[in-house]
Formats: sequence, C-alpha cells, structure tokens
Amino acid sequence: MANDIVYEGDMPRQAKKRSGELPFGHASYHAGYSTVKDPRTGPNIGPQNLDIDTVPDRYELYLLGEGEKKVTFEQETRVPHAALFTFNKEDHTLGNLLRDKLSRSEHVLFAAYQVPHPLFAVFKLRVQTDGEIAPKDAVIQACNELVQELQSLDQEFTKEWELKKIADTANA
Amino acid sequence: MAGYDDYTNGYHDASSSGPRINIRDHNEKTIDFVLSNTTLSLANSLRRTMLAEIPTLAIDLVEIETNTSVLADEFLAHRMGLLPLSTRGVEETLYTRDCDCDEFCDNCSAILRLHVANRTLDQNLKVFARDLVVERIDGSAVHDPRPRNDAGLVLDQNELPPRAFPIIMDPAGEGPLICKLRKGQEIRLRCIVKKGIAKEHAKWAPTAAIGFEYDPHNKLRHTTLWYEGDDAKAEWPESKNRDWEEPEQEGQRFDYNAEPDQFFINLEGTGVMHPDQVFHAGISTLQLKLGQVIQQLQGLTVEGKEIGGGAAGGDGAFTPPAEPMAVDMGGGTAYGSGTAYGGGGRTPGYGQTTAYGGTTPAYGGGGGAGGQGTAYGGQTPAYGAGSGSAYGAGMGGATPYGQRPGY
Ligand SMILES: [Zn+2]
Repeated sequence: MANDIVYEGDMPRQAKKRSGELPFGHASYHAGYSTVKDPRTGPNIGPQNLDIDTVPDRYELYLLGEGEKKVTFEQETRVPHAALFTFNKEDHTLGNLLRDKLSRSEHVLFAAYQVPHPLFAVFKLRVQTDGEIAPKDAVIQACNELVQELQSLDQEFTKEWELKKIADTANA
Repeated sequence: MAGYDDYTNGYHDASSSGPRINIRDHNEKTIDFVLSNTTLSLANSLRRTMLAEIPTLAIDLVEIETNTSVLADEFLAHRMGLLPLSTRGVEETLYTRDCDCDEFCDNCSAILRLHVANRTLDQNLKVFARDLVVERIDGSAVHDPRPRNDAGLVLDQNELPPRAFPIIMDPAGEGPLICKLRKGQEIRLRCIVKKGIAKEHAKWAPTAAIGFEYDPHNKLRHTTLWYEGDDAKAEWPESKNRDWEEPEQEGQRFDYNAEPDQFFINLEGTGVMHPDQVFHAGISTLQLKLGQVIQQLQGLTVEGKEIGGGAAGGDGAFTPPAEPMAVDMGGGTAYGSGTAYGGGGRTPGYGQTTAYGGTTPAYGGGGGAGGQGTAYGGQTPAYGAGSGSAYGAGMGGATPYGQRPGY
C-alpha cells in the first residue's frame, strides 16, 4: 500500500487511481447510499442519494427519533426524593428555564441541568425535593407556572401594543 | 402561582406581579421594549425561541429548468432559499413530514416560479423577488388580491402579503435582487416553499437580530470589562440604556443576592411577519414546548414508569390556556382571533381558485425582457440527468441536492 502513495508537498495521493476506489484521504468519508430517511421527503431511492454520513442531519436537533420520548426520568437510589430527567431534542432554552424555575420552588432542594455533549440534542436535569412533592410533580408544576407566566406576558404585550397603536393614531 | 395573580384577576398594572412591558419605539420591522418584573432565564429563553424556533416559510427545493446566467445552480438555489416570504397562514400550513402526501402538496408547500430572460437588452437585466409567480401544485396561479396601479403593486406595509408571497419593503417595490442577466441569458426555475424553523436552517428565521441587554451599569458584575488604561469606564462607550437605571452609588456594598429584573430588548424582524407577531409566536412556541413536557410527564408514574403502557404521550395536542381574562383592548392578539395573521378568512393564499389573468405582470417587468418564448441556449437541463434537477435552497440546508434528502 505504501508503494502506491506519492507525496506531493503535504498531500499524500494515490499514484494510480484504481477504478472503484476513492483517492487516499477521502477514504474516511463514507460515500455511499444514504441510510438516513428524511422525514419530510420520505425514503431515499436510487443512486442519486449519495451522502456523506459524517454530517448530522439538522432536523435531528429538534425532531424526536422513532420511539423516542420527549422526557424520561429515573429515581435516584442513594438520595431520597431525587430524580434525574433526560430531555430529548431540547437544549438550554428549556434546560435553563426549568432549572431556574425549579430552584425558586420552596419544595425543591436542588435543581441543575447539563448538556452532556454539544453534538447531541439532549439535556439532563437533576431535581431533589423535600418530599412534600415528587420531583416529577415539581417539574410539572414548574412547567405550568411558566405557561401561565408566558400567558400573562402575552396579554401584557398585547395591551401595551394596542395602547401604543392608539397613541400613534392620536399623534398622527 | 407565579405570574398569575388572582387578586387582580390576572390583569397586571404597575403594582401587581407578573411580567411588564414598556414599548419604547417601533416601526414595521422593529420593536424596542423594556421587559421587567421577570427572570433572566425566562427573558433569555424567549429570546432563543424567537431566534430559532418560530415556524416560518422559505424556499426549500429549487428545480432548475434553465440557468444560463453567470451564477451556478447551487449558488442561485442558495439565494432563493434566503428570500423572505410572507408567513401569513403558516399555522394552517403543515410540515411536509406531518402531511399525508407523497412528496409535497398544497397543504404543506407553495410553489414559486421564476422565468426571466434577457433577449434584447444590451444592459444587464436585473431579476428581483417581485418577478416570482406564486402557484399551486397543479400549476394554477394564486391570485394576489393586493391592489395594483401602473407602477405595479400598491404596497401596504401594515399588512402581510398572502402566504408565501415574497416580502417587498423597498420603495421601488422590487424586493431583493436575485441575479442579473446579460443579453441572451435566461433563468427558468420552480421553487418549492416549505415550513420550517431556524434551528434547521437560518433561512427560516423570522428575526434578523434581537438586541438583549440588562444591567447597563454592570452593577451585578455579570461582565468583566476589558481595559488597557486605568479606567474601564473611560474606554467603554456607555449603553443608551444607562438612563433607565440608577448608577452604582459610591461606596455601596455589593449585593450578592441581587438579580437582573429589567431587560432591554430590541426585536428586529426580517419582514416575514410583523415584529409583534414574532413576539406572540415566540411565546406560544415556548408554551407548546412546556406543554409537551407536561403531557409527557403526566403519563409517567412517580417512579418514572409509563402509566397503563403508554396511554399518554404523543405531542402537539397541548393548547395554551384560554385567556384567563378578557383583554379589553379590542379583538385579542394578532394570533388566533382574526387580526393580522391567518385567523379570520383573510388568507386567500390557497384553496380558492382565481385565475391569474392572461398576462403575467410579475415577470418581464424589466422592460422588453418578458415573453414566454423558447429558451435561449436550448434545453439546458441544468445538472444531472433528465429534465432539470433539484437543488437544495440554502447552503447546508434542509435539502436535497440533486434529489438527495441529505444535506
Ligand atoms: Zn403535503
């Protein structure tokens, strides 16, 4: 194999291109038929579906995979009233929002989240309560409070916006 | 419950709890406001949602029938993808992945056609977004109800064009420049518009930028200012928001428990929806996200097992709570009840058949260029085999490059 390679400057190259083989250096990219199914366009068909598998599909950031759940959790065995939640296809937008809301609850002793790896659209949330309320219910309550808070923000904005428009027409 | 105050019946005035808004300035593209009495986490999550997760419409596939312009097919496709298109009726539009059609249909897409040729002009002919013709899958044109005069469309920036029509905001009424054609050059393409979010590709972003500042005097020390001389203050320009908060007092003790509670937000849209709609859409997108979590968790036991073998679950069924009180400011939000957006039967985008009329005023507008004739340079099937080929609109976009749904 080493005999086949001619070095030109920094770039190792194959001396003779044998048909059906990729040039040296391209070999690490698996060029072949895509095995990835695009949920928007249906299955791939035909040889035009040449794909480089090293690039993750962007929709994997927000679309749940087959059978994947938005959120699962496991109770912690060593600590009472503690659970570790795994959120799929979510990021800091939800992670930090929930963490902050939970840490303001009187029954929550501990709330923290992490994104274990930036290339995977997953975050983990650990919640420990005082036992008055289960960690699961603390998260549900946090979500409900946030939905309400956003709802009142929506109304506040509408009110201010309409007032602004009335003021504008009065000035015009 | 935070944010909802029973005593004031949910209605917030200066003395009550719940987020407050003070709109400082606005125009057809931008709103500048101060958000207060809320948390940094909520303000920031809302900012992130408005940037990346509001559904809009953009060109996703470009089928090139003829392209003898100087721009390569991929280049042109990328430019097409970035054109701002009206999001009116986007709620009624399905994602293609959720649609029961085979490839795409009127329920999950819109078609924009572009055919411009420079046959006689010695100068370059400019191709603008206004030259795009909106049609249905079957090829029939979508009626544009907006008034026209001799100069073209009479534009009203207070009202969004029908679904998937290009956004035109310049005084000349041309829209963005797509390319230029020398004599003898021609482009003929079919673009497929799809619903998507900016997390997948930035072309789906309804926002151009969101300015976000808090604590302009850096009293909380969330920022460490770089300085090279003796005084950071002398080297840094002061924020225009400094007048909205009290500066730090000399000799004041640092408050370790202080939290930011006032956020200066400058929301600049791209024009695909009005900036107030961006705000409302951001809120409902975030609510939907939280709703999905509630729904999923309610289907689990305290131990984390599924109740009754997965009776719950599934997404999208969650609806934000009904308004706990009547906003007496006339007719509810932009969303939903028949204002500006979608709502009340004002979306002629699709469904109704209206003939576009024999002459197509949209193209050939550039003086002597129009006409349907034959393609210069024969049938140049752009790329690949067969009759033309599909290109992903938008670099690294959602899209098939030559039929391939990869990226
Ligand atoms: Zn469809």
